[in-house]
Amino acid sequence: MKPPPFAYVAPDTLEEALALLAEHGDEARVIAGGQSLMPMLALRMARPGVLVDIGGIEELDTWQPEADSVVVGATVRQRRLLEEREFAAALPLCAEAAAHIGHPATRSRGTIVGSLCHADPAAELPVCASVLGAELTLRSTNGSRQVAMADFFDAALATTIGETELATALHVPAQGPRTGHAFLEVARRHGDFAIVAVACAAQVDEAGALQEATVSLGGVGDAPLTFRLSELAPGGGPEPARIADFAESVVGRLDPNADIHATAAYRRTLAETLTGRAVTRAVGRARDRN
Amino acid sequence: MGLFGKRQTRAEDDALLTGRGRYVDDIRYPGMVHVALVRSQAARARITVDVSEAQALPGVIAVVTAADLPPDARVLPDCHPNPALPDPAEPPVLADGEVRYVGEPIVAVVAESRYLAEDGAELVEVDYDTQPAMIDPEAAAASGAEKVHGTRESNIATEIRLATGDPEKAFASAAHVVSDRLTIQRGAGQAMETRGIVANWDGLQEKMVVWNVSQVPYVHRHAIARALGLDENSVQVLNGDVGGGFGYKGLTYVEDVLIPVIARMLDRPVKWIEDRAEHLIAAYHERTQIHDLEMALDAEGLILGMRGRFIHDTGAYVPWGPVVPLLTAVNIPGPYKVPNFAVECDVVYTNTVPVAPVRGAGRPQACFVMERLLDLAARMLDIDPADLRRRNLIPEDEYPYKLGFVSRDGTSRTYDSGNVPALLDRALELLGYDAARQEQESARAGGRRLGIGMACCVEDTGLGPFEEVNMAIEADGSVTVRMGTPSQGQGQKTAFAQIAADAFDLPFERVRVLAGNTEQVRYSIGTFASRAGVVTGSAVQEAALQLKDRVLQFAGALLQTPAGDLELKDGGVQRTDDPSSRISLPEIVETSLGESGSPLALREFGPGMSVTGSFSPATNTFATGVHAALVEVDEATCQISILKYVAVEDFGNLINPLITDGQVLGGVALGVGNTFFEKVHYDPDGQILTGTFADYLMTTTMDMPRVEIDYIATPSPLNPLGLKGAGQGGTIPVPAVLAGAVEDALQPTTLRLRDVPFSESDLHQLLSGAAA
Amino acid sequence: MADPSERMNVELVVNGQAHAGEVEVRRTLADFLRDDLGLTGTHLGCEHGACGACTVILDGEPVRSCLVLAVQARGGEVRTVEGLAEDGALNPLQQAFKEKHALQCGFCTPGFLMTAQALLDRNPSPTETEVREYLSGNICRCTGYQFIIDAVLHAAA
Repeated sequence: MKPPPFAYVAPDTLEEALALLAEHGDEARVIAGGQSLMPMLALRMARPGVLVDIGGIEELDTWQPEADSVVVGATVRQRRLLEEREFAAALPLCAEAAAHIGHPATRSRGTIVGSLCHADPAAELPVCASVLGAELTLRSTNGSRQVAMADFFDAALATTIGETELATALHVPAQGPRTGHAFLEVARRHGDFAIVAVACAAQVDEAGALQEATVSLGGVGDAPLTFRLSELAPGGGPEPARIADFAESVVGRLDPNADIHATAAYRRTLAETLTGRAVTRAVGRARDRN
Repeated sequence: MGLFGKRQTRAEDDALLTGRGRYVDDIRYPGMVHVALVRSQAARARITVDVSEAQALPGVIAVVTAADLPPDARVLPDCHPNPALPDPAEPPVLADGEVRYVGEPIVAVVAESRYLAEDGAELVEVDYDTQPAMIDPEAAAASGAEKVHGTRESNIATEIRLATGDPEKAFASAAHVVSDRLTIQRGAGQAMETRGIVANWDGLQEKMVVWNVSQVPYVHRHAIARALGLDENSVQVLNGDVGGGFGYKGLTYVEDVLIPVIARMLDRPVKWIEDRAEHLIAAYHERTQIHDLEMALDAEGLILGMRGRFIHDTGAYVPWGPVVPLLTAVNIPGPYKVPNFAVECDVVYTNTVPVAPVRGAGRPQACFVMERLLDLAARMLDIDPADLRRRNLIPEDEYPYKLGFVSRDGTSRTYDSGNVPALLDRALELLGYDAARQEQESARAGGRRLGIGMACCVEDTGLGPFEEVNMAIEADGSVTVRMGTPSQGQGQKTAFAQIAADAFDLPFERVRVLAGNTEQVRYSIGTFASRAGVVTGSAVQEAALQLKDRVLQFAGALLQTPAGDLELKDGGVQRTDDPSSRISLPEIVETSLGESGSPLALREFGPGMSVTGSFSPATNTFATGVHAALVEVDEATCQISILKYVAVEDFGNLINPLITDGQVLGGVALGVGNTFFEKVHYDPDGQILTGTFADYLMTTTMDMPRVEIDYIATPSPLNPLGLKGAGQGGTIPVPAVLAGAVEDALQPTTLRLRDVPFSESDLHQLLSGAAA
Repeated sequence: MADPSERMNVELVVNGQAHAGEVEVRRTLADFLRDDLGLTGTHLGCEHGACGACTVILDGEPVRSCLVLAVQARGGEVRTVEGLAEDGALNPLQQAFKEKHALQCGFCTPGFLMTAQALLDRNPSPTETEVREYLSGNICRCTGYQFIIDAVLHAAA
């Protein structure tokens, strides 16, 4: 299980990295933390001609709160969500999910943006980024564009990023007041990819009544699937019943696959149960913040 | 005295904790070259191979196909002949024109590094003319099925029949009959160290030196010598530290022969380290069996008889003959009285990885089917499951207990000693059985689902024919023990030093135990089937008694005192009535070896303080155990939590309870995996879908409950120290316990757990189909 | 601008000692430690980042050395199992592993030690749940984990 031959280059600056990607096109592959790419190299399922290591580009290894968003650079490691209190406070949903991403020794290296670019449909961060309405900055020598998660994920392990583009930062919009989040998943074992993962953002009004809830589900399609309470369960009524209605309508819109770990029916059951539980928890937290 | 039975920390540990262990991948020779194997990607196909591109790659030294092998090294002969399987299919060392399972070795690429060898392996072109593959053992057993081995009449490798009493009569008179179809799926050993071999022809000594990870180095020595046309003593098999065995390293694989043959062909040291991807598709598997069994009971719940049949999937070959299904068949009655018993088994070839013992070796299946039937009977008869078991367990005063049929070793199967009713009582006490039942009731009222499971098992351990031990007192008065059974982590160096140190009244640190080298002792069988502790341990005791006698006789001659009036004390021999009359062990050794050029002082003794002793048990000794668990099931998500797990074991007298604790805990972890996680998935074409650790799942820290362990000893009468084996007892009952507990949690429904392993998703499917 | 290359110089510090060598860029840190530096205490269990046996501490963080290229560790500081003992004596964690019988075959042990050391470096008194979570990516087939968990808690006490 040794990687196939390739050439390697570690640019010091973003401009250099973009120039390398422009030069080598589809021969090039970006490596940051490498926690998804290295196993694929070991299995010889990835065969880059040139590996462009962006790990040495200092400007990409920072996160910062901005006026209306939190900006996370491309090489910010997942472990920082669990180890830096301010970062966790800025991205509480991602921090809650981070405990489920692999294990300490993979979170040491694995990056937040890298997980999004890997686009595993059962991964934790893609559903979080989706439910939070986050956007990625994609840059190339030709310029820069912002892309929303819904337009970024294309299929399982595939995104719409261009071959000369680099995802340089994640922008997570500031979450309004009276917003609560929750992340839940069922995996075969702790740290495994989820069978079903659900991320939720919920808002309550000043009186504490449920206003809106958005859920994004992983493991039930080729990419995260996002649903809004206001669209699927617009009526009023008692909150528990409304959440249950929402969960039921979410499941009605899913067509999950079966694999060796779970049947489609089990994924549906989990999707409904976890959606209900995640919304309830997120609403409770929104109320706590009210 | 006094080290026997002590929780002695291990002599092995300091090196392993500081990175100074020496595993096969740590062995390096100058000029060593590396092998990567091209393995079959088809389950059944005719193949043609083109190696020209691989040969042309810079860094590739040789590309070896079946045709390149010497005639004696083209087929791996049966290494474990067994009368129950007269004509086993023997695998080609490299596939020759035909492949029979995904993962079968076809071509060996030899290169300057493993990286380059893998590059070369990718350039080997194998053309597959695929044929229909037989993956499902029931389909393979059917008449007219496509044949795994074209020259054979059918896919049935052999049939096993076992009977005692009159089952027909028992069933005719039964008040109740329970029956079920029960399935155990395929799993794997997955030691953290994969297999590996380093072979080097030593021209000076004219011998083939082979480092490998074998549990049976003397068997490998024989196979390698035969393939190379050498005398056995011109082959030396060495094991350094070995990273776990779990049974499947106790078999001979084609690579065990192939790598030394390549080393001889190239006259260079050759290393092959199996990588995990290879291991997952090519190291031997175990467990697939499908049982159709029924149990007859009287109105009081006493078992009158059992009968039925099962299919055992042996894969494409039979590396250890029919030993796994034989062990299942003889172990089905377990520690219960089953006066009338008849079981038949078809051993079936399929186009899958060959099947051989993995820790537990046929017994987890036996325990699972017996205990699942007991749970079913308890429910049908409305008897508490613990009570039903108690009624049927062999009572203490009926040991030794004859079962009425023969064991794996051909002897009349007789449980030498035991007291399983006491183990059950203790297990239920540790679990807090009555309180747990109450908790279960009250939890149910609150919507929580708790369940209790239990299982009782026996394990045939310490089987023959023998082990040999050499023991010597060194010039400094320390003792060296040399043996043939290698360790894969069991702590033999520690346990056997405890036995020897006691015999000589030496501190633990003054005994050194050496193994892992076929030149240490002349003969040995190997480490498997929970036998080394019992058989080698007894041989250590035997050698120690002989050497002690020699020392005392010799010292008696020197001190002019009858040996009976002497004792070994503090590193010397002294008169029991006059400690001042004393001679130290170094002095004894020095005297026994004399001086160069002079006659020996005591010629009649011959030189040195070294003896070779052995132990040959009359038959197996039987370890027993009872495990019980309390679990909780989240009905909405089907997630299972093990709230409490207890294991009460009878391993006879314990040499070192710290080590046996470790054996139990590791065994339970495998058993938890066998219940929930560990499953080799084949698709209908014979492709393995569990080719990485992302899909072949094993128990982690988060899945393991804290296990409470206790022991009750009924010492074996079959060996001098009263020992029984401890290697597999931890694993055997676990699937039965946990399946029973989960099923219990979900009562009252028609849900039955008939199949292990089962995932949360499997449980969900069963629950969806079960009636309330 | 740097050009992509297939071989590269690697300089790094391992257990306080500086090492340098030219390697193929595809070489993993694990193979570099084992084969180029002869530090065979780091073991390869799966080579795809799923067993934890090859865990080492790189710049203070636990990492799987099979999932890091040697060239990615240039300029880094690596701590391996060979660097744990203090003045030739087992360090408290190693000593606890011995006392609690936290190893059998020893193959996964270096990975467990380095992961647990990383935990104790961050959190000197973890709870049992924290220990279990932190070690959940390391597979052991011999011990059933209980004594490993006990050892880490004992070392922390």
